[in-house]
Amino acid sequence: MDLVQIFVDESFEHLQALEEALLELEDSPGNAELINTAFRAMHTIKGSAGMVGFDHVSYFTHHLETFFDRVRNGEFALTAAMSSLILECRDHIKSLIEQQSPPELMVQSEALLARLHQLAPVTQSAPATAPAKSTVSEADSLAGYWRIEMTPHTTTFTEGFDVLPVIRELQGLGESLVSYRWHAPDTPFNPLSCMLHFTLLLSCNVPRSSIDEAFMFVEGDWQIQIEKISVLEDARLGDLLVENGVVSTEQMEMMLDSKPRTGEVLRDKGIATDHQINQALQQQEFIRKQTQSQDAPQQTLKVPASKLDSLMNLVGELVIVQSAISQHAVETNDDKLKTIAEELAMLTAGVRDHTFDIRMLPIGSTFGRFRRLIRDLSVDLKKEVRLHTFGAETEMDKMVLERIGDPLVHLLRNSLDHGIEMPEVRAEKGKPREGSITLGAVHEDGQIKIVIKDDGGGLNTDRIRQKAIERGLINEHSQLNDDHIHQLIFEPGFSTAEKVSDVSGRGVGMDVVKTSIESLQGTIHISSHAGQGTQINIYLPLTLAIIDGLMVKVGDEHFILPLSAVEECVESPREYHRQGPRLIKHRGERISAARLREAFSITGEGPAIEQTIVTRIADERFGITVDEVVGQHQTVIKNLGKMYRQVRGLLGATILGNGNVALILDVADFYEQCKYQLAQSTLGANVNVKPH
Amino acid sequence: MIISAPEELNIFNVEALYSSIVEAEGQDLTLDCGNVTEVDGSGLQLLCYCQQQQLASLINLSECIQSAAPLLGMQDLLAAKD
Amino acid sequence: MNDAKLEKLQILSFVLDDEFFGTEIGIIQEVIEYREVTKVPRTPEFMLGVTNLRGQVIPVIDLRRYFNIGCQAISVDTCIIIIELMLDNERTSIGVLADRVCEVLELDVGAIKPPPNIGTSIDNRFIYGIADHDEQLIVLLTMSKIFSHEELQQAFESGSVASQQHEVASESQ
Repeated sequence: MDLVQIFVDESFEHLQALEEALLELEDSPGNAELINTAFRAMHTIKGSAGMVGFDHVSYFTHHLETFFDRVRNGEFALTAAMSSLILECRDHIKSLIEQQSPPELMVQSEALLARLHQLAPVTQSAPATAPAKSTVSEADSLAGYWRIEMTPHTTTFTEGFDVLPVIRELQGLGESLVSYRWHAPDTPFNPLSCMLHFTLLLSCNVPRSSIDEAFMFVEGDWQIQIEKISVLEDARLGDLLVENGVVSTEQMEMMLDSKPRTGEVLRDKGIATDHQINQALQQQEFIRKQTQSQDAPQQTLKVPASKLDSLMNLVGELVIVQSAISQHAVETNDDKLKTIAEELAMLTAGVRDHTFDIRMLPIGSTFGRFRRLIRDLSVDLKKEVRLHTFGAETEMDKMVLERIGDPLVHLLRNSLDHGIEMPEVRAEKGKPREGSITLGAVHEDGQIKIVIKDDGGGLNTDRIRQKAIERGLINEHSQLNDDHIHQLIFEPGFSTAEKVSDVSGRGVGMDVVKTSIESLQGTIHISSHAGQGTQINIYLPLTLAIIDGLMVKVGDEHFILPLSAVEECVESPREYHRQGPRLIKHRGERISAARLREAFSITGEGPAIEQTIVTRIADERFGITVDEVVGQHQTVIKNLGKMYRQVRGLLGATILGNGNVALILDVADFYEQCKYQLAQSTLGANVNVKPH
Repeated sequence: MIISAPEELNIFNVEALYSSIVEAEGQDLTLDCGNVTEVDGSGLQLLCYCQQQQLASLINLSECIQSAAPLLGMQDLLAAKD
Repeated sequence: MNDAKLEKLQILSFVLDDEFFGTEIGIIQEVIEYREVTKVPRTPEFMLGVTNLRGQVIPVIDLRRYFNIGCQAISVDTCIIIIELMLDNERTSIGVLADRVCEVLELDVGAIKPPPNIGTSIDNRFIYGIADHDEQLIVLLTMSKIFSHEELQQAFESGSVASQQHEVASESQ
């Protein structure tokens, strides 16, 4: 990759960070960490833009950097108006980078900067009186950095206390760095009195009270100062020396005029000793290290996606070879080989899981984008909406995550546009003016469940029914319950928007969403209560590359069913008289079932005792009848390729241990197909599902 | 001249040790810490003071000193080990 | 290869039923022996199914059924020619069943005649020329046309209808 590309990629990441920080700041105003994130984002873009010759970007971000610097110095608080403007600026920077700063954009830069300066007027005097850490009281999040200054009372030792236990306890709270100095260097040394002052930098995840506890027995006598510090990448040596009381602010400012390195200058002038400077340097090092370790989870090692894909393919091959060996070991009944095969199986599973893990990303990484969408849209639509999220840490396959983005945008837009009512309407109904949309993800039954929920008006069942009849999706006599009617909005060509709005309802609608979800082997279900809101559940597989499968046999052919869809297997004597999809009794419930042999036109007759695999699709059960259940099978999913893209009911193919190819069933799609047949063959069909 | 630090280098002994050190001032003094099995804040404070004021050079820093000194940020004591 | 004018064309000749066909060797990846092919349900007869080529799942096509010409039983001579084409900007490997693979020939481009209007068993749009070699007539196939999206789509729909005539032949396999 060339430098410019790296710059562009990284800048987008920083802009993303900026946006997320701004949006989060709306919820926790004044959060020092977030302001720092914003500052750092601008700082870094400014620097790297200059390096690759994006001078205008560098110039523009410089102003934003200054702006955030002033916010974090407590010069002024970030207002909502400022946030909005910064978001505009963020988009502007993105355009500047993408379009390489054409003149018309450069003109816009000035307009934006003028507005920025208006909101945050430039003051002449430096904020000398404003304490650099005005955000000390801000302790929303537990994770933080603390500077603890303590001067034990001079009688500490003689009174039988010691400093060691206290400091040891503090160090037990997290990562720490201790340094000491003589509290009053001019006082004559007395071995019996405590003459030391300690500074402890602590990085920990505990509340302030835990820190206080360490001082429980000494509180009254010791001079203790505990403050939360913001950790900056550029914790400067000079600042640390000032904070450590080694040099005064005035001395420091004097120094800053001279160019050489602060430490050297101070040493040469005899203001600070080597010892003092070294301590400050250690603190600097500690702070830097902490900052890095804090950022570590977000910092990514960039690997081209293609390399990851080839690794994935190789793992796939490995899994196939491994299952071939296992099979061979069982067949030959060779104990030694069996042991080796078992070990290999374990190792392979490990390699597989780790490779998957590399591809897994937390869904939270996309939440920022949605928050912005909701924010902008609600302004456009003059609605008041708050987006709540949960399960940001839920991990999904990178590819799934990338492809789920657009459908989610569509669904969120829909909720906002059609679901949430105008504030006045909500007030009349006795609801809070501010609507709420919840977006979240959880792992459930080996699948990922994504929830989009709003507390809006809910679906209009009658209108949907009406529309479905108009569109010929159902006929007037169809007896559908409300839930079935609601699912109709996912049918092709269905859109209930009364007028085509800018936001949604462009005719392409929920059917596209459904198709995208299905292409990810997922399912979607909507449930709604009039007046109370709508909830959409999306179920997605954890990964698309390797699944646990159940191998079955029909005649000589092997098929694989995704194990995640399988509930249980039941055997029953074959009823010769029934052909085609049928209803069977299962645990007091009537479920539809189809013979794979018939559905796939496989020649020959099934055995006298046939096996039916009960599968679950969303909240429905469906039986798939086969000749024989072979067993569980690690299945590497291979695409069937372009030639077979029209074939329905199949998820792909996999290669068996003997080198033959077996097909993997797409249970949900297969069910759809059979449902259609069933509806046609059953008298008085009450579900009219269109064939695809 | 070599002075041996007591086994318990704590508040009960620091005064005596400091006196011996002050008495020997002017001589090339070495403080042998090899016997120290217990040390507290006052002991470490004394060691630090001696080192910084160049009252004595420290040798044979015992294990307990080596583990306790970093707790108080006194890593530079250890640098003087040899 | 970068010559302004092509003088010679190298082709692989193969037999379908009793006729000789040829395809230029540039698109040929390899020729493998006939092997187990897994039928994909609900597909026309000419789509034989998929097979495993070193871990890749490759579709195998029976051009005899595609062109509606006679089918011979699988024999020791039966081969699968693996060709590589760009379909919708995607490199795709496809296996083509051949009753027998003959040889690699070098043809003078000047000696290649345009497809005749009548007399060949397959549609002209799939042929880019006819060549005489050792008193054999070799039909040169335009594979990219045969496997283009539009043609496949059409064949997919009509092929399943046409396939009924070949039920007997398929069972003899």
